Amino acid sequence: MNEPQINLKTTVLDDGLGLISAAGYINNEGGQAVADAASELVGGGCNSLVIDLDGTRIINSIGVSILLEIMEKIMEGDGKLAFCNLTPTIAKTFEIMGLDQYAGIFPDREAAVTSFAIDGTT
Amino acid sequence: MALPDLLRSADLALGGQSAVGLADDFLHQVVETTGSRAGILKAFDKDAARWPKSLSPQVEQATEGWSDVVFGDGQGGWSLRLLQPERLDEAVLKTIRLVLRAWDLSTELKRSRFDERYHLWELEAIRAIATTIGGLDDPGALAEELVAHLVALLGVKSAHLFLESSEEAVGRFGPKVLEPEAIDRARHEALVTDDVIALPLNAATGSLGVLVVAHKEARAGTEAFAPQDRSLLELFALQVTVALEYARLARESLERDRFRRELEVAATIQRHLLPQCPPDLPGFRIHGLSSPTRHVAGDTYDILVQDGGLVVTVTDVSGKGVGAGLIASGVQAGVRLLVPEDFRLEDLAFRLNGFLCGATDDNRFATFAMIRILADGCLYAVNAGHCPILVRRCDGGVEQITSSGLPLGILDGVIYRTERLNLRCGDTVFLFTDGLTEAENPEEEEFGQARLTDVVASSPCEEGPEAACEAIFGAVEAYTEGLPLHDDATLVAVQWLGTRSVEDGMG
Repeated sequence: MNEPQINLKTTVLDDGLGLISAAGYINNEGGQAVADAASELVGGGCNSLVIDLDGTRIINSIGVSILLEIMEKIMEGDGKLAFCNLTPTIAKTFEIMGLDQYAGIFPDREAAVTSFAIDGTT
Repeated sequence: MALPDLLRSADLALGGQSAVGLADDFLHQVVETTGSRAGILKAFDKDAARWPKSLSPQVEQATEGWSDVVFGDGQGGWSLRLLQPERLDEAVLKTIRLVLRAWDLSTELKRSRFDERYHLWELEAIRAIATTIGGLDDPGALAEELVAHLVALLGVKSAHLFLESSEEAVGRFGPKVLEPEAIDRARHEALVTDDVIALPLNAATGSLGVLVVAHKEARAGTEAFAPQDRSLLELFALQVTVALEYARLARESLERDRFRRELEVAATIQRHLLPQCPPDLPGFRIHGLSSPTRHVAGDTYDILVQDGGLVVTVTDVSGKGVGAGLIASGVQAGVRLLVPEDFRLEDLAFRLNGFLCGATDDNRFATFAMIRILADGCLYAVNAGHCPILVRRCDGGVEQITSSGLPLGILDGVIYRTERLNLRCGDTVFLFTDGLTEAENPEEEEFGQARLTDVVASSPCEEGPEAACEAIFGAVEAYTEGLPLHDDATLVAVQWLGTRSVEDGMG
């Protein structure tokens, strides 16, 4: 279970919608890397984000708190945040820690991106 | 800008917005409200906001006219620097203090909510592991599940579960931090430092392994483990101990069931090797039985027809169980292979003894009795360390053919002696094992050879060997008052009816 360091990839999908693919351990280092990627996308004009956690199996409490801060920042900019490809354990963690109250949780990337198109958020 | 504009920041903070996001706007409002040229807001001596944003520390140091206000009554450790403020009266300060206090409260509320949810997360992890315990009997999969929950909850950079091996962990995350020698020590005594906790998995049967976590993460770097971290880890260690014990007991139970089934199969095979019904041979009446048992027995008997006469053997292997049963069956097979038409019994016993002496390495031996009765009533017998062969004459007298040598399998090269005597019409020969003579009553007194001889003497042989055997077993059962026999018990009876009966049967 020795997960590699977090592997990040950012993509601008559409006007105002950014995608972060994060695979690896989301702890203080991994979480900060995700936060930096989010800030870069927001600074580049993306007010809404999809964070794809395919390949991420463990998120610790510091990682969760960083994701909460990303969520706050996105909401303060009147944007939206969505997560997809969560393991059952991470999905349960998000539910308990309240992330699912303000961020969309989707089974896969396509469903997450489609939700923004339907909302017209982007 | 009016004071109510300042208070709007407090309202936003209490509404859930983060102080970080509000700090720039708030400081801007403070600078304008106080008529200052610039401002710096600090939390615990670190910059939270600067206005204008381009205000550098160099410019800050090179400029004179700063007014410093410390708000020491809140949680945030706030302080404010304003450059040449025109209006900094008590009303403005109270308003600023109120806003900062609102931010502190908002932060505290979020932290409390996070802590509350974190405890729910702990409970969920414990529930998830308990559920996993019920569904997994594979220690490897269980270990991976446990380590994943541990890493997530404790926020550690390294977690390992060691079972038998202190070199190779069954569940692992991150780099190993302890050498095998340290892990071996932790099997007996917990190791707790600021950076590492290693707890033994203590079961009733001893230490099952060690759970090691190291380097607890903080927002910046790492921090020392807190007492509640150890408590949580102890709870996990207890859970994994229960899980491992459960898995072990489940495996052992399956193994016992499998072994029991195999024993039943072996016992069935052995029972089928016994004569299923006595041969219908003119001039003879035959009956044999072993005490009913579900386990593999060390007793066996066999009845063969040989040239119009009979060969009967009884074997009793020391000990019980599969080993004894295999040897008993081996002797039975050997006899069947070695009995030629004119084979002498002492030679057969000699060869069987040689075979057994090389076949067992745990000092097992077999007592063995064998008779051959020819059609004319001539009886040959060899007794290798076995109970006496009893010849119950038709007039009620009993003669014994005792052992002429050591049991089979003790000493190679033993010479046995064949006894010979002539049967009279109606005589009955009994072969038995010591399960009968060693049967005990409730006072733990053995039935004994003398009592058995008396019972044989008074048995109703005139009604046939089956009635005689039933009477003997009945006497033993009455003696033991229904207590189960300690050992296997076998009894074979052969009655010779005389040459006339053969001629009558042929006629």
